[in-house]
Amino acid sequence: MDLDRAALLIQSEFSFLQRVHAQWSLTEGPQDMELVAHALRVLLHMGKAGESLPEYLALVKTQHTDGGWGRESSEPESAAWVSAFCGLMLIRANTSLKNEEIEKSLWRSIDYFLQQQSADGRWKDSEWGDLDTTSHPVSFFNVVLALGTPKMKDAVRASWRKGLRFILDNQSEDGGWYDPVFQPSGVETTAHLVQDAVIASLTLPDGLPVRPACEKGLNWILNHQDADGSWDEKNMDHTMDCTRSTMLISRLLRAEEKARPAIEKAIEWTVKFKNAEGWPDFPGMETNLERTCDGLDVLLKYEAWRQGDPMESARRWGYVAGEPEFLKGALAGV
Amino acid sequence: MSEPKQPVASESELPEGSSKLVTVDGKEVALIRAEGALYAVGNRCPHRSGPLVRGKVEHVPENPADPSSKTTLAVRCPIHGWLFELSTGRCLTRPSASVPTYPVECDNGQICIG
Repeated sequence: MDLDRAALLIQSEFSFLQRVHAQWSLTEGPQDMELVAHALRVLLHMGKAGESLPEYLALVKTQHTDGGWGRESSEPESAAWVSAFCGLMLIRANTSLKNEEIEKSLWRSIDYFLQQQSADGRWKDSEWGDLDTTSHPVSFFNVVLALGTPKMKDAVRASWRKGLRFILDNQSEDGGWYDPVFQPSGVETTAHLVQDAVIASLTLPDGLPVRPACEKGLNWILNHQDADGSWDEKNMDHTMDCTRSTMLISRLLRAEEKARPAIEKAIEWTVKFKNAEGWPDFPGMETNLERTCDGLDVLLKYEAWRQGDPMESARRWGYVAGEPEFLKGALAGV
Repeated sequence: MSEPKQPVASESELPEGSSKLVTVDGKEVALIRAEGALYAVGNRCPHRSGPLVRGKVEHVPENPADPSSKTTLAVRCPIHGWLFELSTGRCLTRPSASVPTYPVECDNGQICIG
C-alpha cells in the first residue's frame, strides 16, 4: 500500500477516535478496560503519550490494591489478561513520561503477576484460554526486560522464563498453538502467542532460543491465510492479529520477501472493508471501537514495517530499548 | 418478548446449516438452523460482543474441559471462542454467562419468534 494513503487513513481514523474520546477515556468516566488499553496503545504509537499524562494517570487510579485491573474500571476483581495489557501500556508510556506514580504502579503490577503465576508457569483468566492468558504477562515481562529498571528486570526474569517455557512447550508439531476449549482452529492463539510472547526473545539479551518456533509459527500463519487476504473467514480481529504478527516475525527473522505478498494483501483487505469511520468485526457490520483501535495499530505497525530499520518494528511492540522513531515527536514536546 | 409470534424470515431464507440475523423488538437475534432444528439466540456474545450469527455450530462436550462429558450442540463466538449451547443459551466456557434464547417455530413457510 502507498504510504501516503496509509498516513491519510491514520490521520482520519485518529481524528475519529479523538472525537469519541468520551467512549474510551477514563478521564471521562468508568470504562471497559480492554477498550481503554487498546486506545492507549494508539496514543503511544501516534507519539501522543508525552502529551497524554492524564490518560495514563487515570489508568493508575483504577489499579486495584493487588496490582491488577478489572475488566471494567468499576469491577473490583482483577483479571490477568487485561491487567497485563494495562501494565504494558504504562511501562511503554513511561519511557517518555518518566512519572513516579506510574513507576510505583508498575511495581504493583509486577508483584501481581509474580503472585498469580501457577507452578507450571501459566497464568489463568476465566475469560480466556490458558495459553492466550499466559502470553499477556509474558509479553508484559518481555517489555519489562527491555525497558524496565535493572531491579525490575531481576524481579521478573525467572517468572518470565517459566511462562515462556510453558508457551514453547505447548507449540504443536505443525507450528500452531491450539486451545481445545476456546480456539481449536488456532488462528488467533497462534498469532497472539508468537508476536506477544515468543519472538521478543530474539531481541532480549538473555532470551530463550526461539528462532525455530518463530519460523514454524510464521509458516503456520502464512499457510492459513485465505485467498482474499483475510484470516478465519473474513474475521477482522483475527486478520489484524495475523497481519501484525506476520509483520513483526518476518522483520525479525529477515523473511520480509517471503511474507510481503501476504502482508500487502491483508492490508488491502483490511482497508477495503473498513467503514466510513472505524472498523467492524466483519465486513458490513457496524463500527466497533476496539477494532478501530486495532485497525489504527495495524496501519501504524505497517508504517514501521516499511521503514528501513528492522528494529523499528520491534520498537512498536516495546521489545527494544532506545528512543523509538515514533516517540521522538512526543519527547520533543515534553 | 411476550408478544404474539412474530414472523422474522421465510423458511427459504434459512437453509440447513445457515444462520441469519434478525431484529425482534429492537434486539439482535441470531436465527440458526442446524441438524434439522431451528434455534434463536441473542446475537451478541457477553464477552466482547462478538456476533454469534457468524459463529460456527459444533458438537462439543457439555464441559469443554472434560472431553469425556456428553456432547451438545453449541455455537462458538467467532471472536474469542466462547461456546453457547443452542437449546439453552448457557455458556459452556464460562458458566456464569449466557445469551437469551427465544421460542421459534415455522408457520406457513414463515419462521416466527415469540
